[in-house]
Amino acid sequence: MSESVTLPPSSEYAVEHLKREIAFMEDVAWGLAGCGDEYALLQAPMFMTQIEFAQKTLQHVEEGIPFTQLWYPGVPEFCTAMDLHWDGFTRVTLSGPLAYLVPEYLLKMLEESDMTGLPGDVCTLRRFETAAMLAGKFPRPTSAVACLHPCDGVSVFQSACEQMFPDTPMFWADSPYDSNERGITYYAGELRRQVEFLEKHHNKKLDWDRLREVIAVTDTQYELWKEFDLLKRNTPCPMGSWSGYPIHHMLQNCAVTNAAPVTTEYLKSLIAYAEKQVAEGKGRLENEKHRCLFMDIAPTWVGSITKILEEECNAVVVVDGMGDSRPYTPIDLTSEQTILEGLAKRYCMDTPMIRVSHGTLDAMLDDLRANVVDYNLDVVIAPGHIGHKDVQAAQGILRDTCREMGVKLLEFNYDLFDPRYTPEEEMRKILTQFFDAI
Amino acid sequence: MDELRLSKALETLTEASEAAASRELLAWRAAGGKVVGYYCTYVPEEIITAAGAVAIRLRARTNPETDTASAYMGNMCCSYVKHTFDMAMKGKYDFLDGVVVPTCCDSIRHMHENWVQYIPSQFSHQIEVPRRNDQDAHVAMFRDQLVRFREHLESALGVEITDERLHDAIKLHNETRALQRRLYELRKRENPPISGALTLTLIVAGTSMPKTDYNPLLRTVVEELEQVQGVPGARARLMFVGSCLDDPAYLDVIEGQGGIVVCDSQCFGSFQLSADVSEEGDPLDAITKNRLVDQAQCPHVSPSNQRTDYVKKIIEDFKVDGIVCSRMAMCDNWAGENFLLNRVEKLPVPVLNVEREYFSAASGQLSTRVQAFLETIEGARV
Amino acid sequence: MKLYAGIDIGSTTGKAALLDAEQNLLGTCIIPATERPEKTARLCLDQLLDSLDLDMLQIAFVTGTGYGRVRIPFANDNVSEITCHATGAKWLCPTIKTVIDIGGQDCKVMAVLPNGRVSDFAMNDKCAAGTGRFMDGQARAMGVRIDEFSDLSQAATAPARVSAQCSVFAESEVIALINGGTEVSDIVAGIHESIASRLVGLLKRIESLPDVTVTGGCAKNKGLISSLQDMSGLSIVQLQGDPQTVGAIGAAVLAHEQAGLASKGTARLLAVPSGANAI
Repeated sequence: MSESVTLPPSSEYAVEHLKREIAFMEDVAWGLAGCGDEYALLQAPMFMTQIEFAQKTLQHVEEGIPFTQLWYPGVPEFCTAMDLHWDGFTRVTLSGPLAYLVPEYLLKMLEESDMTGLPGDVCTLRRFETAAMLAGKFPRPTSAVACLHPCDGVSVFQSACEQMFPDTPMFWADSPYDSNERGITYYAGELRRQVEFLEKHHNKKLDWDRLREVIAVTDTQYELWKEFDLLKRNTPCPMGSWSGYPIHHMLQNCAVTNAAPVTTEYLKSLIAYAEKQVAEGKGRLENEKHRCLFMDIAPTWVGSITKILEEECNAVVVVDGMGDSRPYTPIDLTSEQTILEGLAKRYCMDTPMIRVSHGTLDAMLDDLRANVVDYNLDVVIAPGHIGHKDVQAAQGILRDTCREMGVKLLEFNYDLFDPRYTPEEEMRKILTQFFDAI
Repeated sequence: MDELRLSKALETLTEASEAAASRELLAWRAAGGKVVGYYCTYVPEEIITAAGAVAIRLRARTNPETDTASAYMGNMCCSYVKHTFDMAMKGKYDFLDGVVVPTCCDSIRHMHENWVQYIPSQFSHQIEVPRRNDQDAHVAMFRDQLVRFREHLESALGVEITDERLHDAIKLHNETRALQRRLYELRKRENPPISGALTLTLIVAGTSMPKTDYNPLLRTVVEELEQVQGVPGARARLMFVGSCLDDPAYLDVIEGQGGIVVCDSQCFGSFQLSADVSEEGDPLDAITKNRLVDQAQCPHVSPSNQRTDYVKKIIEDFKVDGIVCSRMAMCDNWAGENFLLNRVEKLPVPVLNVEREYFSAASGQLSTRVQAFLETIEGARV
Repeated sequence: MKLYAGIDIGSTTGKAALLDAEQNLLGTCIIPATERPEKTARLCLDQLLDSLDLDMLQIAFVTGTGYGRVRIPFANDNVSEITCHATGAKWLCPTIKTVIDIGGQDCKVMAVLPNGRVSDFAMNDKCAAGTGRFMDGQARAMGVRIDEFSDLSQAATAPARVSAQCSVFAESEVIALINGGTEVSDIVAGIHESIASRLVGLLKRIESLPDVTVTGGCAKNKGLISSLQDMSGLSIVQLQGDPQTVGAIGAAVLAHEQAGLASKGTARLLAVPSGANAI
C-alpha cells in the first residue's frame, strides 16, 4: 500500500473551466429560483447538488486533496463508504447540467468538439470526451475507475485515456455478457478488484460495516424509486416526460448525493407531488392521448422534444431508458461476497443502460414488454441515437416485438447530444406526422 | 521457378476467394461434411475443425445488395453486417449448418439473435470476448466460453470433440499460419514479389475452404514465390490498418497509385497469422492464450498500448513508409483506433485516413487521396 | 521557346497555365467544363495558346491535375490537386505554409513544407459542408446569385446562426429565417460563418501555420474570407491572379520540374524553387 497519496496538478484550463461552470450554474440557479413553477422546482435539489459536486471537486483540486474519478456505473457506494470524493467523468464531459439547460453553452461545446475530426457517425459524447481530454479539461484525479460498457464507443475511446494519461492509475471493470449467476460471480470478482484498487491507491481500507450502512440507505432510496414508478402507472401520468432520469442521476451519478439525505428527501418530494396529482385525478398533460417509452437516455435537447411531444402531440414520455427503476432488489448484507454479488447485480444486470446493453437483446425486450403492460403504453420510440450501433442489427426483432405487443413504433435517427443532427423543424415534422397518423 | 505450378495454384485460390462457396467447400459438403460459418478471428476455428467440420469466415463479396436485410436493420448498421445478413436471408448461406457469432463488436453481436429468430434451421452460438486481457479473471472467463462452445458444438453436430482431435486441429491450423507467415516474410524484402492485393486474395482464400485443401495450395504458392525476384520501383511501402477488409480490389486501388501494401493490422490479414497455438499442454488453455493474449488484438480488447506497439513493430519490421487507415462507416472500434493512431500515439510515419463501406463505390476519391499521400511521403524524402 | 503546361480539370471548370523555361508564368485560362475531361483539357489549352500566339508543338511537358487528370491523353504525368494547389500557392507566395482550397464540390486544407511539398492534408469530399455547393441551395432559396454573396454579407449587421450541418437541412433553416423576417444580408453572413467553421474544423486536423492563403473559386468571396479570418484567428494572404488557377499553375511548375528530371532520368519530385515571376 502506498504511503503517500498525492494529487497530480490539474491544468490551468481545467481549473478555470471548473470555476466558470460553477459561476454559470449559479446564474442559472438564480434564474430558476424565481420561476415559481412547483413542478420545475422539484428538480431544485438535483441542480443545487450538481453545483455542490463541482464545488467539492474544485476544493479538492485547489487544496491538493486526493480524489478518484468514476465513470458510469462506478459503484459510488464504495467511495461513499471510504469517505473518498470522486469527480464524474460525465460531469466533466457534459459540464454538469449545462449541456441540457443552456442551448448556447451546448452549441459552444459542440463547436469545440467538432474540431476533434471524428467521423460523423461517432456518438457526440465521444466527441465531447476526446475534445475535453485533448484540451486538458479534466481535473486530474489520483486514480480513475472506468467501465468498458455500454458500447464499443465507450470501450475503445475511453481506453485511449490509459495511453493519454499513463501516470494515472486506472481500473477497468469488464462487464459480463451473462446476466445469470455466472455473470454475477464474474462481475463480483471485478468489483472486489475495484475495492483493492481504491484501497491501494488511496491508502484507505474499506470498512465493510460502513459499506453496509451506506447500502442500507441506498436500498431504501431504490425502494422509494420503485414507489415513485408505481405512481407513474396511473392514467393520466402524474408526471411529465423523462421524470425518471434525474433520479438515476441523484442515486448513482453524483458524489454528494449518493446515499445522502438530500436524495431521500428529493425522492419523497417527487412521490408527494405524484400522489397529490393522482389523488386529484390530474395528469401532467391536460389532454393525455399517448403514453410513450423512449428507449434511450435523455437527450441534451430534451426541452425542445418535450415541448413538441407534450404540447403538439399530447404525448408524454412516461418511461425512459435511464429513468426506469426496474428491477432493483435489496442487497444481501450477510458477507463480503454477498455484498459484492448484490452490487454486481445492481450495477450490471439492473442498472439503466448497462442492463440492456451488456448482453443479448433479452433484457431490452423483456423490459419493453413489461413496461408496455405495467405503464399502459401505446407508443415506443426506438433507440435511434447514432451512437447506438448495437441496436442497429436488431430493428427487425424490435419491430416484431412491438407488433406482438400491439404498440406503435416510431423510428428516426437523432444524436442524443447534438441537436443539429435532426433540427427542430425536422423533428417537429417527424413527431407530428407520426402522432397524427396513429 | 515452376510458373505453371504457381499459376494453377493461384488460379484455384483466387477462384475460391471470389466465390460465395468455393468448389472445395461444395465438394466437402457434397460428401456429407459439415460447415460452420463464423464472424471474426476470436472464434477458434480449431474447435470447429476438431468437431469434424469446416470453418468458413462469413463474407458477402458476391452479394452487393442489402434490400432484404434493410427490413431488419437500422440506418446506422454496419455494411458488413448488412450484406452478410442479406446473403443469409436470401438463402445463399444454405451450405452452413450453423454459425458462431462473437461479442467482438456492437454491430456483429446481435446477429446471434437474428440467426436464432429468423434462420432457426442453422444453429447459432455466441462466444463472449472480454474487453480486457491483462487479468487472470478475463482469461479464465474466455476459456470458460470455449468450454461452452465445445459443448454446444458437440451437441449441435452430434460429435465428440476430444483433446486428441483438438491437438490435431491445432497442428493443422498452425501449419496454415506458418505458411501464411512465410508469405508475409516475402513482403519484408526491399522488392516484394507479391502485392498487398494478391496477398489478401490468398489469405481470404484460406477462410473459404477446408485447410486440408488450402495448405498444399498455399505451400505451392509460397515455395514458388520465394524464388521470385520482386520488381523495384514502388513509390512507397504502405501498411493497411482498419476494419476487416476482405476485398483485394480495394488494395488494388491503393496500389494502383504506385505504392505497395507490405503489411497490415486488420483481422482478415495479419491477426490470423500473428501467433501459433501452443501444441503443448491442455488444448483449450492453449487456444485461449492464443486468441486472447498472444494474437494481435483488435480494438475490442484493451489495454490499447499492446495494439499500438503491434503497429509500431510492423512499421519497423516491414520498413513501412506510411499507413492507410481505413475505417468502415459505423465502425466505432476502428474509429477509436484511428483516434489513437492519429492523436494519441506518435508514430514515426504519416497516416492517411479514409472511410469506406463494405462495398466501396468511390474509387476516384480513394485514389486521389492515396496519390496525394504518396506525394507527401516522397516530398518528405527530399 | 519551350513551354511547360499545367492543366486542372474539375467538374465545373477546366484551367490551364503555361510557364516558359525560365519559369515565367506566361498566362492562365479558365473555361466551363464540357461533358468530357479530355475535351475540356484540349479546349482550355488551345484557348490559352491562341491567346498568347503560341503553338502546341512548343510544349515540352504537360502535367494534369484535378478530378479529370487521368483522362488527359496528352499529359505526360498527373499529380493530385492537393500537391498542385500547395505547389502553386507556394510558388506565387513563398511564405505560404497553409493552403485552404474551397472548391465547388470539395474543400481541403494542406500544410506546406519549405520545399513546397505537402506534409499533411485533410479534406472533405463526401458532402457539401464547407464547399461552394453548400451555398447553391441557399442561394436559390433566397433568390440571390452566388456572386452577390460577398457584397450582401459585408452589409450584415447581425449574422444569423445557420447551425445545420447538412446542406439539405440548412436550406430549410434558411427558408425559416426568411419567413421569420431575417435580413438576407444577415443570412448570407450566417452561411459564410457556417462554411468557415467547417473549414476551421479541417484546419485543426493539420498543423496550420501562417502564412495562410485560400485557393479555388470561393476565394473571390471577400465576405467568406472575412468570416474565415475571424473564426480561425488567422490572417489570410491574398495570392496574385485568379485563385481558381492556382492548381493549374502548380501543375505547370511541376511540369517544368519533371521535364528537367526526366531528361536526367532521376527520381520523381524534388524541391520547388521559389516562384519569382508571377503575373
